[in-house]
Amino acid sequence: MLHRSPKDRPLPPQVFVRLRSAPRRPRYAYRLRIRDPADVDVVRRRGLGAYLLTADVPTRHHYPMRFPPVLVVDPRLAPLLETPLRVVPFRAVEVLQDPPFEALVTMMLRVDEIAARVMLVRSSRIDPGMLTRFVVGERLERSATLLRLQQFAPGIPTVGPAMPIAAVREQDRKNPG
Amino acid sequence: MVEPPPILLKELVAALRRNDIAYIVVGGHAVAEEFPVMTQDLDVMVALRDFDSAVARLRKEPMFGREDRLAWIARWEARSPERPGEVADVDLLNGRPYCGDLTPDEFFDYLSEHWTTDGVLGRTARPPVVWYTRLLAVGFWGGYALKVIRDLRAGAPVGWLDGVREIARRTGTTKTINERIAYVEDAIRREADG
Repeated sequence: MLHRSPKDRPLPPQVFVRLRSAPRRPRYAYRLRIRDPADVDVVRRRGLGAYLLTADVPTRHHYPMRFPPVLVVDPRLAPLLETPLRVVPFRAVEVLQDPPFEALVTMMLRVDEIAARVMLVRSSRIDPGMLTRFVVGERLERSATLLRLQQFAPGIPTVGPAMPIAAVREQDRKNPG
Repeated sequence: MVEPPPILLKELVAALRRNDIAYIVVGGHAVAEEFPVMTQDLDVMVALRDFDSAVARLRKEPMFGREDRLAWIARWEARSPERPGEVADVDLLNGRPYCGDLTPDEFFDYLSEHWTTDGVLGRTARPPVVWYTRLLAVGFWGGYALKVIRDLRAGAPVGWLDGVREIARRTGTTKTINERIAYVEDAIRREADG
């Protein structure tokens, strides 16, 4: 639960919904009501770990597609949310204000594994160490292995089966962008 | 609400119509008629009886470039004549891999009659058809099952799987389809359990 002291700067009440405080407690408790992208901006401006993952991300990285926006958040915020958006926790909260490419690929593994791989295939610059750190940190080794992401980041531990190479190559070619 | 298709897709559909090809839109654009998840590729199905002539006619269209051809699919890289930077894959399928106990043409006619609507790109399959074809995909079906899993994760109605089962009953592919639906449901369940 978020807590604030009465002396702290006021928060936008449409997003930061104050809960009834217990008698004689010096702090207020809040829930987060996020209905649309503007609300995500409000939360981000207050420095909280939230990122709205939209279809612009894979499209900008040469895999044109469409999907409903996904709210990627600090796992500690997830239980406080009231939102119609799909919520995905992301443990590397320090990058949520400005996620690097490797973090975006890792987030995409929870949305569309094929898109995540093809973003890597069509990228000219990848930091393998950073990709490994995010994939392992989010415990997505199984998805990464299925799509053979060790091709880009050999340090990702192999967990579970991998798609046949021919099937992976077929997906690499599809949906040019 | 269904968004208007990009200009390139309109041009591709115009080429199909110009050549009098009786097609059904399948793939992501068919799903997107009812739920906003898709990639840019255009997948259309035609009856096997029309397949060879459709391929021959589309080959003459300047937009349709490099071609790959197998017994059940012709695939082109299509490029807009006005905007050469715009490119999309077009897959022209027939019903061979999906028809089960029916003939490919009986399968096409069954879909046309029971599982299509008028969409922004023309006659369009209902999403259960798309999921059914993905689960019976040629080659490594698990790769295409990921697309069904993606759609479900995004919030597509799980009830569409009932439609998949209904199509499978008609084609006699129930055993295979049920195994693959179980794979999808298991994947979704594992994700929900964290």
